[in-house]
Amino acid sequence: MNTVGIGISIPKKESNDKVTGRAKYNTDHIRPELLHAWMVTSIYAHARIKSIDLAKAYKITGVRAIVTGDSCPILCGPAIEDWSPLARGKVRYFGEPIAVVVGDSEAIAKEAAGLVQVEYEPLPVVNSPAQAFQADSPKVHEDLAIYEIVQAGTIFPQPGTNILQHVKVKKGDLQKGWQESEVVVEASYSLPQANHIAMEPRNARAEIKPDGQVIIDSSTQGPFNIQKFISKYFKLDNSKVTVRAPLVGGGFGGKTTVHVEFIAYLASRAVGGRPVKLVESREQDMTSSPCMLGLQASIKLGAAKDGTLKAGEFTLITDVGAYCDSGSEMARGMAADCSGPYRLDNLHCDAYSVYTNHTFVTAFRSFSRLSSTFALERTMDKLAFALGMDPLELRKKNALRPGDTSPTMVRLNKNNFGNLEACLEKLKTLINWDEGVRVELGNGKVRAKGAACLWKTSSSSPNAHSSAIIIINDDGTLNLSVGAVEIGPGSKTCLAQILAEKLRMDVNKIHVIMEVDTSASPHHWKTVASMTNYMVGNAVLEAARDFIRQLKTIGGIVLKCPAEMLEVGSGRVYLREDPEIFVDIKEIGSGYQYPEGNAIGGQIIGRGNFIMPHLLPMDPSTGRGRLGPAWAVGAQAVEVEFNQRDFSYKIVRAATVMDAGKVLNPKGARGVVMGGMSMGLGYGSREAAKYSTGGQRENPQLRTYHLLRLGENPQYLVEFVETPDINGPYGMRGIAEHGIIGIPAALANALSAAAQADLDCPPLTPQAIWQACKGAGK
Amino acid sequence: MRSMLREGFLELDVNGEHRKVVARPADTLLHVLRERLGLTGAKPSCKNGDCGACTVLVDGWPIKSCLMLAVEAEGHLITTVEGLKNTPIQKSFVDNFAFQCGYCTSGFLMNCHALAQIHPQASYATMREWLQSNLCRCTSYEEITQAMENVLLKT
Amino acid sequence: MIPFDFEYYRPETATEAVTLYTDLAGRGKNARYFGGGTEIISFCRLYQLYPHAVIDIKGIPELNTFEQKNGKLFIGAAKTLSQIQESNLFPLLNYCGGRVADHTIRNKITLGGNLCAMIPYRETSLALLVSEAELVIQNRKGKKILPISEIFHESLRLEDGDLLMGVHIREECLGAPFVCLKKTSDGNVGYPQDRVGYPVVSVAAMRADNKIQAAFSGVCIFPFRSRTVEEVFNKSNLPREEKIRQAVEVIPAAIHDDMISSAGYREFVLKSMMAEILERLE
Repeated sequence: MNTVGIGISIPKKESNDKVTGRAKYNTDHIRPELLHAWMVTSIYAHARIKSIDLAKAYKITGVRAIVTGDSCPILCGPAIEDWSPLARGKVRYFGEPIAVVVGDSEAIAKEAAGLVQVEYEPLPVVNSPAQAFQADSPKVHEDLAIYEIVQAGTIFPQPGTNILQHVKVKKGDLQKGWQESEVVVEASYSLPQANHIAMEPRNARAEIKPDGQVIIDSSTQGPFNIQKFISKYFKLDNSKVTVRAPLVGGGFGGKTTVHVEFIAYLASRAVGGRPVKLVESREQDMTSSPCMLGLQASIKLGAAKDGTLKAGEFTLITDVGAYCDSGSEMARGMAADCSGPYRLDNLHCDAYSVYTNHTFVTAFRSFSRLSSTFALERTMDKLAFALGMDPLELRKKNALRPGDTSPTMVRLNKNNFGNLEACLEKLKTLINWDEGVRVELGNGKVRAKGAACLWKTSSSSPNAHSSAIIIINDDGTLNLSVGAVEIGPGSKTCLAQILAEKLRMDVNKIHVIMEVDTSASPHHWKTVASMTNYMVGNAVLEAARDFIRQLKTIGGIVLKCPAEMLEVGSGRVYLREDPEIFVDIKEIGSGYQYPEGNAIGGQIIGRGNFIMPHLLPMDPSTGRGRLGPAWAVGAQAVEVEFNQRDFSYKIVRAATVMDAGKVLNPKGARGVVMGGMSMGLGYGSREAAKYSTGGQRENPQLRTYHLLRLGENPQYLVEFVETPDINGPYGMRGIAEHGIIGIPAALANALSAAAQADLDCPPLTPQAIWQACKGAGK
Repeated sequence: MRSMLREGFLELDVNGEHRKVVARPADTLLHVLRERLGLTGAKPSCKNGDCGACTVLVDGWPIKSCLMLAVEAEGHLITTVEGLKNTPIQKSFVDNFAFQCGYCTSGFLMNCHALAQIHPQASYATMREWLQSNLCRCTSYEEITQAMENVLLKT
Repeated sequence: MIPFDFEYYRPETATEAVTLYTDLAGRGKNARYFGGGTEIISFCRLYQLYPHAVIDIKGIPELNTFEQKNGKLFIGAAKTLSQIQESNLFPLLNYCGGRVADHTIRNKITLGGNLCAMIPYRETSLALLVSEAELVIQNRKGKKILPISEIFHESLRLEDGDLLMGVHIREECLGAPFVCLKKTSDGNVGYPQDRVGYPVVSVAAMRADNKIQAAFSGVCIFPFRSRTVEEVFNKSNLPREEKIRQAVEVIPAAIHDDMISSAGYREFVLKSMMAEILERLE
């Protein structure tokens, strides 16, 4: 098998560790000196904390400390400072951490936690985004007016309400758009919150060394982010905080924020800096740590009779739960991409984030674009129906093309946008669209297809940056060190492939350092937004260029010629005109020794960095701006076999065609796309955070919160279009999360066609379809 | 009658080795394997029997070690992922990209390995019934199904 | 992680087990018989159960046997649901027990454990109710054998210290024609099991003595077999639709409404399952 470079399916570098149980995740560090922490969490969704009695808990032998919010009077948050790591005064969601108990063992800490007596005074609950919006709704935060805004100009809270964010995007002339519209459709959608369910629950260890050095070990997608926030809120120099991230057992956005790390730090501080391990139970991971946002959306689209989109109005209200975290940013992202990958010259979008007494939210695979895409793509199908037009044809007709502009007025070209039409064309064949959207099979069964398009750019900080270091070993192999965490998709392997391609060497001779340590690893913003291969890949290429330059310099001395005459490849520096005249890089990588015994040079270290240029914040009144460098686009479809008698269904096939720019690792790319599709089918068909009338979480377990299981998966059809992005390493685009985006919508479109009912509120369980059909009198 | 009234010694047969450990009667097998024996291949995830990440073999049968007391395992042969050496299913998982983050992998491997041993010619329906006991959040299951099918004997 | 301690005992005979239970009770210790223990362990983890002691009954040989004699099949209470399935002695019980939880957990869950479970579905009871099984129960006074109808009312009404040893099923029931259906919130569950989850509705029905006998789980907050439902099913000359309408009216309690299913949807599912039972067994 070819093992040089990109475009080949190199198994993950850490494969052997992962199939032998030797791969070490953060919870796998078992040390006798560790103390263990257990959180006391709220049993109410909204309540005043009247008192906390620790006496009984302290009576348990082996309890070393109990920390409550009063000992930590800070407010924090990445966008607005509205959150206290341990609740103070009141609790705002079921599962909110109130105290943390530190004990000699997890059993001791947990037993004592069960004995902490919290006296609550229940308060009226804000249990839906619609309710949050009402003027007479209870207020989740009374102090919204005085909270510190971290990123001015990106968040616009409305004190005295539950409205935390209001983003406006205005493009073209809406009035004119409606006048030109011959067909108008309007619909509302409601999508529940859901959970990330990384198989490794969120967890962290913290320790404070005698010299004040703070060490945080975390299962995180953002070690540098933890470093930044721990140092900021505990008033430490940045370098006084070291964060280490080993292999991570899945993230999906849920491990981008800083949450349990704060609590672990407080726990360690309370026991004189001794190392403390805090591992969330699955129930805590699902209720205490942040989840995926909910959405209430209304969309109105107008088109000419030929299907050309003329006008669009979007109201997107996101349920961000009790605290902001990245909720306000996700509203911005949704607004910026509100039109979908369709040409819509006249549009208004109002995107809100509202506080509710639900679990707070953070990034979720696709930065929650799957939710807004659901609303848009359902509306597109309704429009197609109203026009009497084929749904795929309608999408193709309106597909954005180079030269068009995005809702925030970014001019599109083939680099930053790719080729959606090619994706749609390919999808049509792949899913055999022309056999018909709905086919009666007899026996009460129907086969139906639904489609959706996807697009997404990242919401990166305008100064997000990445670096890479290449070090050569005595045997001529290389160590590649980057700040990206390996959370599953095989990024580190892809990065090694990028380096192997550049150096034209065997990827097996490139070692990647799996663990990230902020005190030793080069920086990377966060392992999020499908940007790792793009950002870090560019840094790796820069480092490779630096590395090659140094090799050639010393190679020139050895081979007695100018560096310009040399090439690097196959572990050698050789003469371009005659590759048989060469020197092994291992001979020069750590200094070159002349036959006489004297030496020159030294270890060669390549370094490179990358920062994204041209990102601009959105204008507060029009939304003009540029959130990310490029979109990845694609088209998806789902085919179902629906039983009209009992409203059950089988997902038969699911297809995705995506413009990947350049596929670095075919099996790996197919895997992450299918993984995203699988998650999208789960959300579309069964996943939802269920809250009681009192706002208490009813299904915080995998027994009642169902994921897709083996055998429930359909046949997956995945293909790629390759329109290179000149700015991406070898033309690649970030696609790791995108597989999820259009799938819930495509599923709903297929099922709506099958059941001949509007299915606008996932999850689409047989009960939900039965209900919708009953409502429609079927 | 065997009784264990408080924390004390247990003797377990793990991966062909006889091991003596200190445990509480209420300690789960998962906890003792990880915290006392350092066998961290079995993973804690739901600790409720729902996800299968902690699956080990007891007398060759897959068991969720979060729902078994360590003391119950006395007298039985326990195999953890660390006890799998160059088995076909391990290679098949690598070749088929049957994992991403790898956190569910140990549990899946144990279940798959047991199936291959107990029903080497398992039908698709039997395979599905067995492997539905484990959850994976990264892959689409297509890769795991392929990895398993490549190891089962064709009938 | 169970956050407190309990004592563990593994007796070798049933007499030893029941004596131990009484002794512990005499010392103010609340003990639990422990079969597969899956529910005890998960409830303890969630602070929902605090036994002082658990009595592991898997070491008692009698509880670990299958035996066919005198026209009856005996299944020991400590037999796991997987062992029962692999033995393939009573197909209806395979269906009822073989769709509980998932395959790996069924390597641990025992028949006795499922019948005595706190989680209310107790789906193995359906097969035993319709086949009119007898339960073998031991306590300090000795052994007794009771028809399930006498002791299973919503749940198994054991007296404190009673140990369920196993069940007898008449051989003529083992091969009787049956229908066994289950639906979760995600859809129908096939056999072999192809879907995991608690039932919206789970039913077992058997044709014996030319009559349909049926038991239900998921419909109400407890499993039941209802003679009045069966009377309706077995009426001659009544159209199926009318039978279903009448049967739904006489079920013993309100249809359950919870996060798994609304009462309305449960009723819809129940009716369609009744239709299938009638279609296949009438």
